[in-house]
Amino acid sequence: MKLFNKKYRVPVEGVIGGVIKSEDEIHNPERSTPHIFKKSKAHKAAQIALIPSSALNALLYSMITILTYQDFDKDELNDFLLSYILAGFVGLHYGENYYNFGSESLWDLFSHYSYIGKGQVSEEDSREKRKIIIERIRQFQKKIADPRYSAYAKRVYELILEQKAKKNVQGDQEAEEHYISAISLLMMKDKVRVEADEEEMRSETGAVNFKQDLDVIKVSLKEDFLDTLTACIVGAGALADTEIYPLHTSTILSGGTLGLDASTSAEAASFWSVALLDTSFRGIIEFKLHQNNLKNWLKTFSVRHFVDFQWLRKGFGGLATINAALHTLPKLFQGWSALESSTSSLIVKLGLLVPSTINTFSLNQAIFEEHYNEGFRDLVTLGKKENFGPRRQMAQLKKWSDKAMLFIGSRFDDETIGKLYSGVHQGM
Amino acid sequence: MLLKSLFSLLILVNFFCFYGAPAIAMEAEGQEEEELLKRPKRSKGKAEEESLQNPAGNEIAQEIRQKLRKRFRNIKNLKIEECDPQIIKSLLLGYPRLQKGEPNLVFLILPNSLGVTPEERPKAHGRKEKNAQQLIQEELHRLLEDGRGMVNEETGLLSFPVQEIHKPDEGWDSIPRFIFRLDESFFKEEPETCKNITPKVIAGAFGCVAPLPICGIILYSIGNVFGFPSGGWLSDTLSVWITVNVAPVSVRQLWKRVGTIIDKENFFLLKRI
Repeated sequence: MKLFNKKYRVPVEGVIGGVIKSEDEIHNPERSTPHIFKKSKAHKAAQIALIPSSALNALLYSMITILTYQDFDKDELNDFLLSYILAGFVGLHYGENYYNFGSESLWDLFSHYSYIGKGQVSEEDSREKRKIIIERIRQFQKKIADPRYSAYAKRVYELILEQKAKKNVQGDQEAEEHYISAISLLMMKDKVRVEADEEEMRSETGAVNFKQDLDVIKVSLKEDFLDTLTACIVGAGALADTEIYPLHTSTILSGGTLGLDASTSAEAASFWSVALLDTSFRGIIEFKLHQNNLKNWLKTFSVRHFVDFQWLRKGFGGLATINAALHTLPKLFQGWSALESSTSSLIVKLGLLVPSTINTFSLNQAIFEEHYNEGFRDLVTLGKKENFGPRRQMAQLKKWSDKAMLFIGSRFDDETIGKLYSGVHQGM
Repeated sequence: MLLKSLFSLLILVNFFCFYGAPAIAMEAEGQEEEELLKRPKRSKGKAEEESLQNPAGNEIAQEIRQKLRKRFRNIKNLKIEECDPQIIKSLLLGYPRLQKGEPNLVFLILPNSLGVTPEERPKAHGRKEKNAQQLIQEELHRLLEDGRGMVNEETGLLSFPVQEIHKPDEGWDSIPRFIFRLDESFFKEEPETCKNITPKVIAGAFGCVAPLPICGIILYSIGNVFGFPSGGWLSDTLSVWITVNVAPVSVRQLWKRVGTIIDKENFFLLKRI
């Protein structure tokens, strides 16, 4: 029984556990193990293309640094290569962060447009099931955020630890049949479901239950608005950067430091080509980043979304915003300097500078937001999980459920999603 | 279509411990299964023998079929009567109770009509198609010829030690087991981060230097926009602020990157949530 397209599958264990299994195990289509998508050749190519894109992004920041130092102290720094060394550090910092975000965005893009629906499971079916499960996890997060359900959260946490402690139920029928799926504990489920008495009825009841499940997917105006806003930010930012990037490049190169003449049409064209390529690629991969960032930004100013250490997390959100604003200033300043010499009207200049600044701000905010969130989460969930108090239990539950959403959204293959969905709704 | 003629293939898989341990089963299901296991043992009476020989409409056959349906309910569109023998075989061999190497017996209840004795072996060679009955017979005969199985011709019971069975670990398509594996992978503790000291040293060194140029360019930009002088308390405070915030980010990122290269740990996939 060759059930699945093995091309797109990699065992989850191999990735989550940090151990890549042998090729035979990976490509055996008969395995009854969860799998994540395997990177396609196009994905790998895009990942390689991300390296020069990150390098160009790093170069942009390096150029900004050089320009800033040249303006700052022409006599001392310009004669030495210190400004270039410092610029290299700045470039490495931003380039590295950019590569990480780009890599994540590529996963989202490829799973969304290329991987889902490539096996025997229909694309629509897989997408709907993913949405349903993710919505159930969101409901769970909301539920445990409610102080009235603290006992419920505690019980779920204890149950997950219990299930985790079970080393191997395979072969032990009683343990196996009483096994509760720990991952399903991170989801809310319908209390009433139609059960099939006969084998023949299973497909019908399955359809009824699936229809019922679809009701959990709500059409959100906020999501639509965020999508549109993100598209505007990314699009306008890409256009603006395409315009500003060659200005920076020509300023640096025409300064004579590298001995190039930016006034020639060939070199100007090459600046434009590089800028266009870079910003187009960035436009594609930055969409998800900006979308997530907008959501995080809204969460910072909302009182509803965090489940644990609410004010501390919001404080970190605020810190990320302040730092992002500070780090956007150099690019804003140099962008303005570059545009100042342009003959365009003030409105055109602002029209270029504002989207570019918003884009940069969003990227910087994502860097700090992730740093604070990740650092805080790791810190809070450090130590023996059995000894956690209610708040740390909630933090751990949030960590698990966030991870589940990530994997369900863009990592698990269609078969895994189908089986998870079936298992969860069969009461496991 | 030929498979439809094989109406009464009755298979029950279970295990008994030689050392007196009772069969483990779920409360309700387990009791039912024990009943099922007991019945063939008691079936020395003529009526029951006949019912085994002619399983159509027979109560045990129905019960076993239902049991199999229930047991393998997760397999879509599985019809026991029409099932492909290879599927039945994999169902049998993949039954969760079977543990390779344990001193258990597996009982296959077969209707006598199948003719499991070597004398009645069908001559399948030369035929264009084999039906399910023939395939299963061949498989059973192979086991018998190898001396690994014992058949009770009276009851149609075939038994052989489970350690002789090659259990197709990959073929068992069970949702519970799948979910268990998923949990096992998902909740596995994340690997210890970078035991190697080199990434920490590199990251630490870089982390101390990276904030300096960033401080410079931010301070200059702010000073230029808001017009406050460098070297004052405000610029010093700002420098400290930027250093405190940027250094850990740089250290962390570089630590993970160098750690990924040196220790081959996949930090990024796990961490970005």
